[in-house]
This record gives sequence, C-alpha cells and structure tokens, in this order.
Amino acid sequence: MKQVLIIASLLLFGWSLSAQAVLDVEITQGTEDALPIAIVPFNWASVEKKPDMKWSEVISSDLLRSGRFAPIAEKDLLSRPQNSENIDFNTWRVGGVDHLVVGSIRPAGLNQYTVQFQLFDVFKGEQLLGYSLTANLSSIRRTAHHISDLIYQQLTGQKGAFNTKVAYVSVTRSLGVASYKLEVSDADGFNSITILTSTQPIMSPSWSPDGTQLAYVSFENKRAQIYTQVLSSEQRVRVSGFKGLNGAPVWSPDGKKLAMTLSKDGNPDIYVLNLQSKKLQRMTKHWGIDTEPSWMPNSETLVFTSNRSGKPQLYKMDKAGQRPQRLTFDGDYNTSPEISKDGLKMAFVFKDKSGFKIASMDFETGIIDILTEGPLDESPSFAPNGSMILYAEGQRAALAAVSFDGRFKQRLVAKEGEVREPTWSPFLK
Amino acid sequence: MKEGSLFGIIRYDSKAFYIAVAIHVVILLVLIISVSLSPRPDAPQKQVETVQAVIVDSQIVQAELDKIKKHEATKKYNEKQRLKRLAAKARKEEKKRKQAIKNRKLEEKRLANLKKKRLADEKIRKIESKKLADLKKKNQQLEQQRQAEQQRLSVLQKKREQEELARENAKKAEVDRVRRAAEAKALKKKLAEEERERYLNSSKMKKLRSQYVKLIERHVEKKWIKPASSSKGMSCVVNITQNRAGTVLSVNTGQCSGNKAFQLSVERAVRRASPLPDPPSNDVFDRTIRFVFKP
Repeated sequence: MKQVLIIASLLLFGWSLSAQAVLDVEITQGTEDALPIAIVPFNWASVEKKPDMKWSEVISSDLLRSGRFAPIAEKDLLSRPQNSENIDFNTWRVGGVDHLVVGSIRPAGLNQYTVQFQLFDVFKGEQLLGYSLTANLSSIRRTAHHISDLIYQQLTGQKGAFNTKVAYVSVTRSLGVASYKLEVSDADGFNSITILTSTQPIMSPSWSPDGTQLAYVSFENKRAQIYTQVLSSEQRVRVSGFKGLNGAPVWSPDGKKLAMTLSKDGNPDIYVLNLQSKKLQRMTKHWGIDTEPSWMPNSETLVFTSNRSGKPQLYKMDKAGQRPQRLTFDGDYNTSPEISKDGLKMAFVFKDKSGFKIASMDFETGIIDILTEGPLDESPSFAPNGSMILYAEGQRAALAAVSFDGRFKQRLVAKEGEVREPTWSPFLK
Repeated sequence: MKEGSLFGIIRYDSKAFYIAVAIHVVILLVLIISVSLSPRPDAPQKQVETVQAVIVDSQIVQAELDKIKKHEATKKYNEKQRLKRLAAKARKEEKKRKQAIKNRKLEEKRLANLKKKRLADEKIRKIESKKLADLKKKNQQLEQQRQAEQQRLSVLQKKREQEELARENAKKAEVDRVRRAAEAKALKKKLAEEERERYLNSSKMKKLRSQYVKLIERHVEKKWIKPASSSKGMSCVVNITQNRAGTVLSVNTGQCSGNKAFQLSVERAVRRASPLPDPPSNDVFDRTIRFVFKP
C-alpha cells in the first residue's frame, strides 16, 4: 500500500511537472501573405494534337488573381514532376514552395479529354486533393477554372469563384457611331459572348441570383427602360417603362424582387418591384437624389446612394424604408455600393484628391480600406465568395479585379473601346 | 529354488522328512531279503541208456529193424526233445540267476548311490544353511548401511533448508535495500526537481521564458498565412517537438475548431517556422511546444 502511494505520488508529481514544462505559445496574428504554390505544366499524354490551352497558366493566373496565392512562374520551376512518384518534396520545401500541383490530360474520344490532377502539401509530403475530370474542347477553360476552384477551396476553406461569369457593357465607336454591347464572359475575361447589341446606351446589368437572367437598362426606345433577359433563350421582358428615369435595377438575393431607381414621382427615388405580383413599392421619399440600390442578404434591407446631405453618400434603410442611416462620412463622394453576399462588407467608389477609387468597408468595425489607385475606377462588384472585387478601370477601358484586401490587382482582358459596369455572377450550377 | 523349497521343508517339518527317510529304508530292506530268499535252480541230471540188439529174419528182421529203427528214432527224437527242453530250462534258470545277480548288483549300486546322494544332500544342506546365515548377516549389514545413509540424507536436507532460509533472508534484505535506495533517489530527484522548479519559477527565469515565448510567437506569426476563411472563434492546438537546433521534428494537431484549410494552415505554419528561434537561455529551452492558434 505504501509503495502504491509512493508510485502514485511520483506519477502525479511527474505529470504536473511535465504539464508545466510545456511551452505554451498563443498565436493570434498571422500574415495575409500569398501561399507559394507551383503548378507544374500538365502532361499531354498523347501523340495527338494538343488542345491550344495551357492548363497550368490558366490555373496559375486564377490563383494569382485571388491575391491568396503566389504561383511560381513556369520558368522558375525547380523540376517538372509528372506524377507523385517523381516528386522530391525536400527540394520544393527548401525552395520555399508550400504546395505543388501536378496533372495530365489525355484524349477520351472526339474533342473529349480526361484531366487528372493532384495537389500536394509539400511540408507534409501528402496529397491533399486528387481528381480526374472530363472536359470537352469547348469547356476546357471552365474545367481549368473548376480545378482552380477545388485548389482554392482546399487551401483557403472558402468556395472558389473562378468558374463563374461576369457581365459588362462595352462601348466602341467608329465613324462617330457608338455601338453598345452587353457581354458575358468567363470570370477571367475570356470567352466573351454578346447578349445584346444596340446603338443606344445599355447600362447597369444585374444578375438574377440563380445566374440565368440579367436585368439591365436599355435606351433602345430613346429613353431608359428596364428589361430582364433569359441568357439561354434570349427571351426579354420589359419590366419597367415609367416616364422619366428607369435605372439601376438590382435583383434581390431571394430572386423575387427587383430594386430600381424611378423618377416617375418627381426626383429619383428607390422602388422595389415584386416580380410575381408586379406590385411596385416606393422605398424612399426625399427631395434629394436616391439611387444605386444594393440588397442586404435578407432581401429586405437596402443600401443606396443619396445626395440628401448635399454630397453623394451611402445610406442604409430599414425594412420599411424608414429613417435611412448614413454609412459613409469619409470624403465628399461615396457611391456605387455593393454588399458582399455574406453581408459583412460593402464595396463602393470613393473619391479623394487623386481620383475615384474602389474602397471597401467592414460593417462590423466600420473600417474603410482603399483598394485601388484610381484615377477613374468604377462599378465595384464582389465575387460570389467575397474574395475579389471586379471593377472597371475607366481610364484604360479595362476590366480589372482586386483582391478583397487590395493586395493584388490584375487587369483582365483589355477591350477595344470602353468597358463599363462589370458585374460578377453568382455561383453557377 | 527347488533346493530352497526342499530345505524349506527340512527346516519347517523335519519330523516328516525323517519319517519319509525311515519308510524308504524299510522298503529297501524288504526288497533285499526277498531277493536273497528266492530258490536257486538245480544242476541238470545226466541219463545214459543201454541198447539191446537182436537179429531176425531179414525181412522181418528188416521190418523189425525198421520198426526198431523207427522206434529208435522216435525214442531218440523224444530224448532229444527232452534234452532240448532240459537245456532250455537250464538256460532259463541260468538267465534267471544272472538276472538276480544283476538285480542285486543294481540294487547295491542304487543304495550306494542313495547313500552317496544323501551325503551330498547333507553337504548341500550344510552349505545352504551356511549361505542362508551369510545372507542374513549380509542383509543386516545392508540394513545398517541404509539407516546410516538415511541419517546422512536427513542431515543434508536440514542443512540445505537452513541455507535456503539464509538465502531468502539475504534476498529480502537486498530488495529492501534497493527499495530504500529507490525511495531515497526519488526523494532526492523530487527535491532536485523542486529546486529546479523554484529556479525556473524565479522571476529571472520567468522573464527569460516569456522572452523565449515571445520570440517563438513573433517568428511563427510571420510564417502563418491565415487562410481566407479564418475568423474569430476558430482555434487550433498544435503540439510540436523540436531539437536543440530548433528544427521541428514532429507536429501533432490537437483540438481544432474551424475548417480543414484553417487546420492545414496552422500545421504548415509550424513546419514553415522550422528552425525555431534560439532560446535566450538554455534553461528555458523546451523540446515540446504547445501552440494555440486563435485568429
């Protein structure tokens, strides 16, 4: 009994000692650094002619654009393993590469391909992802974006938004005649298709939350009217043709309503059209200009731009549209609000002495980050996962994307003429 | 053991034996007497006959002669037969006599043999009884030896038991000694550890340790790339072991809330952080570090 006691006390003593001996380190801060990742060019495993697309470039470019990743340039790759057996993790580790993607493509029938890829954690020396996907020739870019999404989600814990679309208006002029086009392209600006062409202005495209329709303003009848159009069938409906201004249509997140700016009752105010009952509800009633509505995720509350204080500022109204609350106090020009899908952030155009810039506000802290340098940046639109903000570089007439924290900016495909009012699609099925 | 059994009888029932011997002797005497009393054959008697010759007519004579001759022949034959019978009788008598002599001689020889045998038996008996006596004596000696051996063994056994007891006592003493030594050692170690703990808890050491923790913290924070999805409320415990050079040897993730990407990022952070910074003093170095990531 005595011995048992001694042993027990020794054990307890040893345990308490070792518990105390461990160094406890609490880490609350981290960096927002981009994750170093190497995308090894995919191996074309066939004698047939290779489809004209560099998978690794598309994926690298997607990941780079998110600002979350720092893909290694192809010329700087330490080696080009084609499969897991050829990987010397230590080399990559020493080279400071945290993740490695290897893949291969092979034909699988006429214009069909099988794409395989694996994502490895270099430090652990383990595979994190491994997929085999089928693509056809017309969808290989989408398949590449899908791979980017899978990698992005695995490493950030956030759904990827590379395999999505953007809609925008392009304007070209020849011989003094303007041509307006409503276009839809992949999120990286490739594969654009024209939805509508007009000699009169087209404005303010907005996606339906299921990604199947666009609402927009067209001046085709010499005045601003609001249309909705089904993308697959090109079927159009004019939903608003009141006298005066019909502008800034925005689909509610539940898809049932369309918020818009109308001036039918005098000066521009915010209205909500119920798409089922066709009932129109006036949301603001003020002598100032109220426009550019944007929905909160509850499909009830709206944020909008108003000059009721003398200068354009952003306001948030409650459900009934009563007592709008001013959100912006910095600077004398804040417009074009767009609420992130999670409702935690707002992107908008902020003007300071060096020009118009894209800014974001964190609703919880009220902190505003200026994300771009201007001078003529406009129409911010969140990616459906909130990771990036798409906008138009007014000066260069280009589509551009900035990571949510402003650390990474990339111009997408430059267009002939002007590019206006880009808007990012929701997640597509 | 035929002899043995014979001697057994002699030993255990000598009266019967002697009666048997006496009966044999009587029978023998009767036999001898009867032989000597049997009649001796008589000596053969010689008979001589006189021939009487008479001549007669030749024929008659002849006939007479023949008749006489025939009668003579018959007479002669009969005589011859009678002689033959006598001779046979004499031979028979002779044979009988010889047989009697032979029998007597045989009987004498048998008796001689019997006597001789008796003497021999007597001799054997004496030898046997001597042998028996020897055997008895020898058995006694063996019994004595056996008893002596038994005594020797019991003495030995006693001795062995005593030795065993002694050994056990020694063993017990050794166990006691080892236990006491271990207790003393444990106590000493405990005291030393307490002493060390006091030292480690001294304000100087506390300061050094917090410096070390701060160094590690800053270093790891630089290596931790927070994933996009990391948010307040997530937390992850990662236990690592390092060697003296700060090289991270093992990474074990403990309790982790939040998503997979968050967990991967913290594991990666501690691996990327290898080698960890040097401690400001050897005394605050620890092989095990417990990280709690709390964005």
